[in-house]
Amino acid sequence: MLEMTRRALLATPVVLAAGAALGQTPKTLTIGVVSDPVTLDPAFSASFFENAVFYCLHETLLVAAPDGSISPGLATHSNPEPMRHVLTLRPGLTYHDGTPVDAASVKANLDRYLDPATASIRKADFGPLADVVVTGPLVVELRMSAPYAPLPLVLTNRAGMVVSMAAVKRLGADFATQAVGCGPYKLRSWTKNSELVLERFDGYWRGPNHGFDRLAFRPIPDETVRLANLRSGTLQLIDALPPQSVAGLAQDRSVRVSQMPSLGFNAWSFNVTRKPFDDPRVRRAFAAAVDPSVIQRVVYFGTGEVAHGPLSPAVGWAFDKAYAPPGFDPARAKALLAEAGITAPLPVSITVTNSPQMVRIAQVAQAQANQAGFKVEVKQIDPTSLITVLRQRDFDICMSPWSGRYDPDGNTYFWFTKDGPNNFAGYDNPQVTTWLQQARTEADQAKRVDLYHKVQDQLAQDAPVLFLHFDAIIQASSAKLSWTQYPDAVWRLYDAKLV
Amino acid sequence: MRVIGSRLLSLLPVLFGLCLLSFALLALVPGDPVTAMLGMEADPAAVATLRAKFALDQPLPVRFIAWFGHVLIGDLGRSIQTGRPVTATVLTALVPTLQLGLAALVVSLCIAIPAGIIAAARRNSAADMAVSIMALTGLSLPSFWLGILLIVALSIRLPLLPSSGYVPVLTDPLEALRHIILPALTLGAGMAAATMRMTRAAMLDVLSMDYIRTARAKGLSRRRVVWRHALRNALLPVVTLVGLQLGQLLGGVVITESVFAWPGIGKLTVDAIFARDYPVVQGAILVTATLFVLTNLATDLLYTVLDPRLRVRR
Repeated sequence: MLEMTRRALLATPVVLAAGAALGQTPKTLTIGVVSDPVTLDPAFSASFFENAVFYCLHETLLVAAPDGSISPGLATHSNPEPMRHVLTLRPGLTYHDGTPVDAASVKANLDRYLDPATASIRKADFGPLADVVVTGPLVVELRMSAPYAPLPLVLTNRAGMVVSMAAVKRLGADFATQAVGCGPYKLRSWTKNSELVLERFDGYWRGPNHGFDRLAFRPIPDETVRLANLRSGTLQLIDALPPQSVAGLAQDRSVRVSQMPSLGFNAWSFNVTRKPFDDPRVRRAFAAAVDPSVIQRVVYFGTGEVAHGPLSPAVGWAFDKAYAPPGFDPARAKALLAEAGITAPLPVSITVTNSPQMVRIAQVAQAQANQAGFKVEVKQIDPTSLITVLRQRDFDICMSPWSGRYDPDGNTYFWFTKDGPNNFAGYDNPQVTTWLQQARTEADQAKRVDLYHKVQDQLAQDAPVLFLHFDAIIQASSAKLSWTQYPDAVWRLYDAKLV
Repeated sequence: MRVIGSRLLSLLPVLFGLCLLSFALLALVPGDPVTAMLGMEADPAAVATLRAKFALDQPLPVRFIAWFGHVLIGDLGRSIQTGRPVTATVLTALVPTLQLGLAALVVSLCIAIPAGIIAAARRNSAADMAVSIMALTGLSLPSFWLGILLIVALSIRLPLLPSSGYVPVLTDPLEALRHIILPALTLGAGMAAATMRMTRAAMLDVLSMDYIRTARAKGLSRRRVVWRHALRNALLPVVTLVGLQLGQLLGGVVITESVFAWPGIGKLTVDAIFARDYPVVQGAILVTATLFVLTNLATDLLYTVLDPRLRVRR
């Protein structure tokens, strides 16, 4: 009896706190994210972490499943001719402000992305899109200047999100903080750096079957604190669980850890435009000196996979499991350096952002490369400076992480064509550029795969980039929460519910 | 009043210098708001368009003069990243910071002053040792670690308090109180440690003075001597320390704010620095610096209340 009373007493605060933790309204899902969004406007969204909110607030024209297969979203898609894509919108849809989601509105959205005056970063996503033409109240035609195979997948991404143009006009600069979309949830309130609350939108195209009335996103940058909040019940879903926490959580029945391969890669660009990495032998020597499997064990605690190229295992149709270019071989590294005429330890620097994980990777590589004839210095910078350092090519080796895209074009074209915006290495191989151009215009998937595999082989020889790791998407939730994980690490929470 | 007026006037060159310095320092850091905004995929044409839109292509002195001209008429501009007015952004973040700062101060003073007095009044006793150990522990504990310990203890093991988030007082006073307890304890504990040591040292100093001996010789009780005669004089250095601590708190406490998802001005400023959102950084620095100087002024005025000898005689 005494034991029962004690248990009851101990249980009381748990129940009370659980009620409080779920918020004053019982159907609120509280989510811990790495950072607050900078903007809610898809035209200017550049932060990877903004996506957590974006796919709940906004809706895409087409929808990608976790395996990358495409299905209709706000619209159905057909491609009657290589240069013509037709989008037919579902009838009767509205934005959160009640204005209709019709062909005119979709055209206005896409024109806004494409207009140089908007300076939207989405413009590049559309490739050779020449014109958007309204051919019916609910039908829009996307006319291309060249065939562009990745377009349907592009429309499943931020470029395929449409917003209320009436709100864009009405709110002006304030649209960034008060965006009006047509996703499953609409904006209720946003206290910067504390909580962004979305509220269910009953006009959502999938119907009002939301598992929660509200979603509350709390930015908690520190992974330990995010996890503590999950375990306390304050949060029910958290992003970016650190790899070292995975094993420890196996015994915790109240928490469920979910992981899957991500679309992106963690890689380092060599600066091929200046010494010493203008010599491909020196680049290959460095690549042979570093063992990514050690990094995977020591830094990633066995999560994710070692990367050999840009094609992620998450894109099953393009990924080649058996592909394994020449790997870690310190003797070969020394021989290549000798062949390049380098006899003394070669001083080079690795520039990374000051996150503990990135610094640890650089330190492991530093220790290995120093054994093979390099003299490595690790330089740490803040994340904003990283973009400037990469763009100005002010580095020898610099971390160049990529969140990845569902279509292999997104992991290759911008990175390895001569004028690609992410060609930080300064790489220029006309053959690779040609293959990548062919791949994005080729409709036959088998032929595309063949071209991407050729590119992958050539990259291993030229080594403009050292591929290190395909990070795993690691997220955790209350064991009672049912939700779907995606390889782009982004939640679509219309189907999340307590079970 | 004239003293206050002249002190306020002397504030102006300080603030101008600060604005100039922070503007120049920010410009020296690599990266700009447009690269931070558009990310790695940015098209150079889009970068150029936005740089022109935000006048980032103008020379630094021109930008500073334009910005400062607006400041003089009370306009801190708009955030480059969010488009929101900087004044509203900074003031919105200032309210939670003020709440947290004051709550931490209350926690700190409630612990530090009585503990410091007891330690001094019973020098070398077990109570004194206990207070010294507490102070040393409080000073040594990083606020980040203490915050996590408190979350584990009071949110996970004993699920009594929410481990993160902010609720405005006007929305729900009870929830606001529950949410502020852990961050205020985290912040207040570190402050209390320093204040406790200062109170003890000042009290010991005062208790060894002649007038205290005289008071005791008059037959006054120990309690009366300590609380009525010694404490007021011992508070002067404590007030100086608390004034400085409060000034620093008003500048925001980034770590505590990050741990508890507290939307204060410290986190706002750091995020704005990372995003190179110059108008927000400038606005936040201007507001917090003004508050810091005003807090110091208030501290100086408090001296004259505590010690009438310091009042300016006319």
